[in-house]
Amino acid sequence: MLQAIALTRHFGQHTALHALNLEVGKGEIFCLLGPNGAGKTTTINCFLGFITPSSGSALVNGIDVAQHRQEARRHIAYIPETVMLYPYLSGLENLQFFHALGGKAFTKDRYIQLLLDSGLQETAIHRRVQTYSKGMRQKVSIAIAMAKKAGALLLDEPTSGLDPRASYEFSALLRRFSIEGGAVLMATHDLYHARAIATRIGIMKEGRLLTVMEATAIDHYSLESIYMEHMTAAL
Amino acid sequence: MLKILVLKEWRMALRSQTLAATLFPLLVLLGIAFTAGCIQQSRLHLERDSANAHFRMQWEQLKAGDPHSAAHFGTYLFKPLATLSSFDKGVDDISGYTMRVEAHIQHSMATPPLRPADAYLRFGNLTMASVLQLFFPLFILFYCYNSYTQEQASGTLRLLLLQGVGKAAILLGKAVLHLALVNGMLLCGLLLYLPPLLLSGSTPVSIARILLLVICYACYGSIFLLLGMAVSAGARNGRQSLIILAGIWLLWNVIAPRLTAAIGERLHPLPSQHALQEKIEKAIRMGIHGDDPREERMEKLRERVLKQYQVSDERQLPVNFDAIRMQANEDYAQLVYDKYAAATDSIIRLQHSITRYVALADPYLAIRSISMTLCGTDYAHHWHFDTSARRYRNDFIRRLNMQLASKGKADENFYMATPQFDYHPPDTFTVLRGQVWQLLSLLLWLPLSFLLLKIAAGYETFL
Repeated sequence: MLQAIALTRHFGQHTALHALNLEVGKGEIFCLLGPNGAGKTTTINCFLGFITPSSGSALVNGIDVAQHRQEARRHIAYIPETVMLYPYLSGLENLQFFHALGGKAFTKDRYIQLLLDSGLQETAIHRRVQTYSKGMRQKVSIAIAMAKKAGALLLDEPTSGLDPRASYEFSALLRRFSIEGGAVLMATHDLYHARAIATRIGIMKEGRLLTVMEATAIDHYSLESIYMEHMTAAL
Repeated sequence: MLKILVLKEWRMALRSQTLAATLFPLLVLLGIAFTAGCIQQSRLHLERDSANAHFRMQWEQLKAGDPHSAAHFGTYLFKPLATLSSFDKGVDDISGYTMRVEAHIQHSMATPPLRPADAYLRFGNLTMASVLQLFFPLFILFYCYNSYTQEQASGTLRLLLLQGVGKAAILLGKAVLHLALVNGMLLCGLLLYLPPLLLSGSTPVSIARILLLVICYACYGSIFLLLGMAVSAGARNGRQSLIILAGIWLLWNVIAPRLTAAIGERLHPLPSQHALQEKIEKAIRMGIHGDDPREERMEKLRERVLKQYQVSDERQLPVNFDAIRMQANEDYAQLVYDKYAAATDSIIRLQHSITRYVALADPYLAIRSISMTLCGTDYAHHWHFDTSARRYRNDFIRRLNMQLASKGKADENFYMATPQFDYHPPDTFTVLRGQVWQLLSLLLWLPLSFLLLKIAAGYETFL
C-alpha cells in the first residue's frame, strides 16, 4: 500500500533522507522510530505529497505521489501530533465538513456512529471542538480517516501528550483500522507503544533506515537495547 | 465543494464573532460620522437658508433710490448645501461657499474667517466617506489578512489538502463568503444611514448617483478584500501578511495622496492670491495685453456713445454716460477676471491630472475623487457653482447699471423684480465625464486583484 523506493530528499546541503526503501502492506502497522531529525516526518511528508523527493519515489497504492498528488491523496488519511480541527465547529460538523469535501455524504446518524466508534463520548459530539482535549480531537480525526475509507493512515507522533487511557484507546482504534485492511505508517518516539501495536518496527537515524524488525520477534527490552545501540553507533 | 467551503466559512465567521467584531466598529464609526455630518449639515443648511432669506429680504426692502448705491450695497450668494455633502465634504471646507456681490469688485468665493468649534465640529473631518475610504479597508485587511495563513498555521490546511481540496478552491470558498460579508457590511452601513441622510437633505439626489456611489464603494472594498486574501495566500505567515497589507494601505491611503498633491503643486504651482489680484488690477488698468490703458478705453467708449447718439457732449446724452462707463468697466473687468480665473482653473486641473493618472495605480485616489464628485462636493462642482454665481453677479450689476443708464430710479418694485439666484448643479452624466480614469482604475483593480489571488493560488483553476 505504501512504498518508498530509494526515497531521497535534500534540504540545501543537508540530506534528510538517504535512498530510503520501505514497504507497508495492507493490514500492517509499521512504526518508525528514531531521534529528532532522523527523517521520520520527512518520510511521512513525502507520502502525503507535502514534500517533493529530490530523487526516488513514494508510492501510495502504486501511485507516485510526486506525479499524481491529488490521486494519491485519495487513498491517504493523516493524523499529526496535534490534530487541528475547526474550533468553532462541533466534532460532528468537522467530520461532516471534511468528509463532504471528498464529494461524499453520509446520513447524520452514520456520522454520529463513526464518532462513537472512534471512541468519542456521545455528549461531546455536538460540542465545539475548542472544548475538546487532545485525545478527543484525535478521535475525531480517526473518524475522518474511517469515513474517508482511506487505504493508508499516516501518523506523526500521534500519542505524544496523550494520557495512558487515551493512548490505549487510540492504539485500539489503530488496530481496528489495520484489521479492516488499512496500512498504517506511524512515526513515534514511544518505544513501548510502538512495540505494543506495530507489526513491524523500523529504526531511522540521520535519514537512513537502519533496521527493520518484526514486532512479535522482540520484547520491549530488546527493542530498547537495539535502539540504543543504533543511536550510539557511528554511521 | 464550493457550497461546503462557503458554508463552513460562514459558520466560522458567525461563531468566532469576527463578523460582529468587524461590523460593529464599522457601524459605530459610520454612526458617529453620520450624526456629526447630519448635525453639521442641518446647522449649515439653516445658516445658509436664513442668510439667503435675510439678504434677499434686505435687498427687497432696500431704501436706496439710486441703483449705483444699491450696486455698492450689493448682496451675498450662498452655495446650496448638497444633500450628500454630509456623506463626503470633498473640497467644500476649503473652496468656500459664499460670494459677495457688489459693484466694481469681483469677489472670490469665501468661507467665514472664524468657525464655531463646537463638539460636533471636532468630528467634522470624520465623514462617512472618510470612514469608508480609510477605515473600511483597514477593517477588511484586519479581517482577511490571516484568512489563509491561519489555515496554514493551525494545521487545518493539511487536512483540507488531504481531502483533495486545492489551494484555489479553498481561496475561492473564502473569497466568495468574505466578498458577500464585506459588501453586506457596506450595504448594512449604507442602508442604515443613507435613507435618513437623503430625507434630511434639501436638494434632491438622483438614484443614479446613489447607485453609482454604492457600486463604487463595493468595488473599492472588494479590491482590498481580494488583495488581502491574495497576500494572505502568498505570505509565509500571518505576521508577514499583515505587514505587507499594512504597507499597501499606508502607501495607497496615506503616502500616495500626499505625495501626489505635493508633486502636483511643485510641477504646477498656483500664483498667490495677492499676486493674482495684482495682475488682475494691472490688466484692468493697463489692458489685458498691457497696451490698452483704461483712460484710452474710456475715451474710445465716450466717442462711440457720442457718435451713436449723434451728440457732441456727454451732458447732451439721453442716457447716463457714467452708468455706461461703469458697465463697460465691469465688462472689461469680467473679461480680465475670466482670463485669470481660466488660467487658475487650468493650473488646478493640471494638478488634478497628476492625481488622476496616479489614481490608476491607487484605488483610494480613485474612490476619493469619484465619491466627492457623486456627492457634489468636488472641484468641478465648485467651479460650476463659481461660474454660475459669477454669471448671476454680472447680470445683477448689469441690471443696476442699465437702470442707472436709463436714468431710472430703483424702487421697491425694481428690487423685488430682481431675479433670485437659482443654482442647479450639473447632472450625474456630465460630472462623471471627468471621472473616466478613476472609474477605469476601480474597473481595472477589481479583476487585477482577482488575478493576484489566482497567482497566489498557484494558477490552479478555482473549481
